[in-house]
Amino acid sequence: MTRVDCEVLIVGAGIAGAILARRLAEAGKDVMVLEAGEATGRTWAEYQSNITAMLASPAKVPNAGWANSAAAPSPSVLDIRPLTPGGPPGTAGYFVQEGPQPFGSDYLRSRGGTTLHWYAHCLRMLPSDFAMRSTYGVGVDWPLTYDDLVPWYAEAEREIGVAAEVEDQLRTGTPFPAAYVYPMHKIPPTYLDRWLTERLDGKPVRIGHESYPTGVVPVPGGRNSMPNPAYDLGRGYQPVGAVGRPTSGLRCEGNSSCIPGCPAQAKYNALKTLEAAVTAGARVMTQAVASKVLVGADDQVTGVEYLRWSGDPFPTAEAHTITARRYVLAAHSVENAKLLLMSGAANSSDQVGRNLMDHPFLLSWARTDEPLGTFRGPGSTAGIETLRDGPFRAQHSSFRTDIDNWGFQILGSPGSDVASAVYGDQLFGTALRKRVSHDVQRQLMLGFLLEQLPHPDNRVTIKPGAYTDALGLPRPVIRYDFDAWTRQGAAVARDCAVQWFEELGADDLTAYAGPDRPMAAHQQFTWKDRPYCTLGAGHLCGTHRMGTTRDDHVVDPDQRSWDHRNLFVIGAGSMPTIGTSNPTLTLAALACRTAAVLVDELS
Amino acid sequence: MSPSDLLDDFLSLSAALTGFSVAQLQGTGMASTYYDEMVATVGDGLALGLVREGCLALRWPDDVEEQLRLRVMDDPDLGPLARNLAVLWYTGGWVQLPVDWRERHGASSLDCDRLLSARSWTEGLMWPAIGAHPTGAKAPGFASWVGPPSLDDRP
Repeated sequence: MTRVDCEVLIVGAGIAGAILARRLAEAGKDVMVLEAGEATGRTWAEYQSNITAMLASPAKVPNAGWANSAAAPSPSVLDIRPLTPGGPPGTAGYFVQEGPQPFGSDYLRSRGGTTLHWYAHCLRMLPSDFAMRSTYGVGVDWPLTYDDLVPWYAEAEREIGVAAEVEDQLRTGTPFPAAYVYPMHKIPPTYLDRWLTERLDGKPVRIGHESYPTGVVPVPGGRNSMPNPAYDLGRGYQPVGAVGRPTSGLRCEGNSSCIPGCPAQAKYNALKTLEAAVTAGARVMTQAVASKVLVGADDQVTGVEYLRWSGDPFPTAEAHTITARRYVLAAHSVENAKLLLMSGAANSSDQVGRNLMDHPFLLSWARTDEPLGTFRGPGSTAGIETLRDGPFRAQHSSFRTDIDNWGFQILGSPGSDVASAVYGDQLFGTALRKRVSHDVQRQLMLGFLLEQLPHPDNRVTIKPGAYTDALGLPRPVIRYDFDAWTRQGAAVARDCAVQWFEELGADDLTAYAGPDRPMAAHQQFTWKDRPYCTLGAGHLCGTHRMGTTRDDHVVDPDQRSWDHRNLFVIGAGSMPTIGTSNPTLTLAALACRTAAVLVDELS
Repeated sequence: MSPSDLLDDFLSLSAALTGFSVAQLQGTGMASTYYDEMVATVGDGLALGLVREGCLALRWPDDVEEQLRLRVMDDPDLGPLARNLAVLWYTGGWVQLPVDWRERHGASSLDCDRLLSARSWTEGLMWPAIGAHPTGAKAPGFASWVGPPSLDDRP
């Protein structure tokens, strides 16, 4: 047998790569992880330096405070600009935006990946989400069913440490095995959650001519809460604390900063899984950008070329090649697609980079006449989860609705409230203080995560001659739009918000056009003569979708490349449809499943 | 005026501008940082002028608001500084002064929209004003979000 550098090479030290690395290393396999970005959070002090940088960042956007480098740049939401129809592409920052809509989401190229700043919502997908074509005649079916994923969801919920109650989640239409409980009890609902539950839960909401119950349901969170003694057939669950300081983060402390970062590490991040992987013997090499997947004459992958870089913002780099028995790309939806396109690999289906999906995030906001306890606790601990499925999905997108605990933070609050009171209304002294308190305490923000269907033209490409980064590697070029199915979903979601605000007696302040619209919402569209604007949700899916045929799928149901059988391409890019749940739990479940395949195959 | 007298006057004016007490402002530990920052950004003369005029207004305890308005807030040179000072205490950030002000007094490179530091963010008065804690710091503890907000609107 040819000598190889390691048994399994994993590209990407985010949650998907970390889950594989941990399981393979614990099974005694020799694992090497290449991470394009920098080392972060190996010690408590190293992690806290990022938290300080985050606090000092003027805009608390998701990537604020985390490593960014010219050699492994990450997209930033601050680089998003509105695009002019027929105008030049947007080239600010890392992405090249061909439009017609600017792609609105970011991710983080760093040890730990985007879980360093994720929201940690851990909803399972619904059974119908896996069968959109056969149930509603739109999108595609998955090659896997919900039942296929049930054990892997449970494993992912253990790895992440999810806090929730099964009886709550049953209300969303998610079935569970009879004896199942989550590792931890749900995060205690916020004052706002209880306030809204009292006033909205069970109230009918109209969609077209049909009436549906409004269900205010706690959201499963990947953050430490009270362990459930009934977990694991009575064996219980031990919460995992911070890397380098295991006594920190054993409970959510209420830092109200899940995004851009949890100072306590009570919220799960992939550093925790990486730590376990390293303890079991996995090696992690940072500042190593995979630049080419090498394919031999027999269609087997023979190695991965990478650039080991140092220096910022003017890096120098040395090229190396690493060989393994199995190769795993776990670099994120966009980076996986980019690397495959750069390599001319795994793309006989011509589906690499296509079917890019996100959850267009539509806001609706209002002022209530009572204080809501804003800016306390995790960003969101409950949602309106009963409109995630229904016969209407044959006509338009469904959605889940985040109930935001942080008022109008996404619009700039509370700083923007201070500025408008001082500069606008010329207030100072006690009047200023009372105004800020009064206004911010009455801010009610709902965020709708709209479904998108897979479209071949929503895609990641590269133009190596035209757009490159500091290492000379191509930047992702993105084409992106919303179809009528999603636009109609936005209109329906908006109409639901109007009904709920009316029920609450809240003063609807939502504005999608003009000076009051959210500054960061650069996706604008008109539907049935009404303007809408949306943001990205950071839920990038679909760029290397899985399926049972090699003609129009990049990977098989095990996330193994149809073209190169010793290559796996894993992550949310494998998801054929996006559903309405935040995708990390599902990609983690898929990673657990693929890890089992690999452990089995190499044993 | 000795430096400590100056800082006392600066704090008295700041209390009147923000609606917080001198003791609360002292508790942030930011007073001298903010005064120094203002001096660095707009110069000694205007910073001293603001404190002097502001403290004159405070001599009429029954009429502070009106006096502050007359002497400071409606003044084309001192008003923008006073408003910026209030915003600095609340948010920890400096906001670029109005164009006409910059044209009259010359523009410093420090006069731009900026958050001073991690510390100024966590010490911002907007957090206690809304009955919360600064996001990302001073965590109030597990389940602290369950009860109704305790709002303290008193001066």
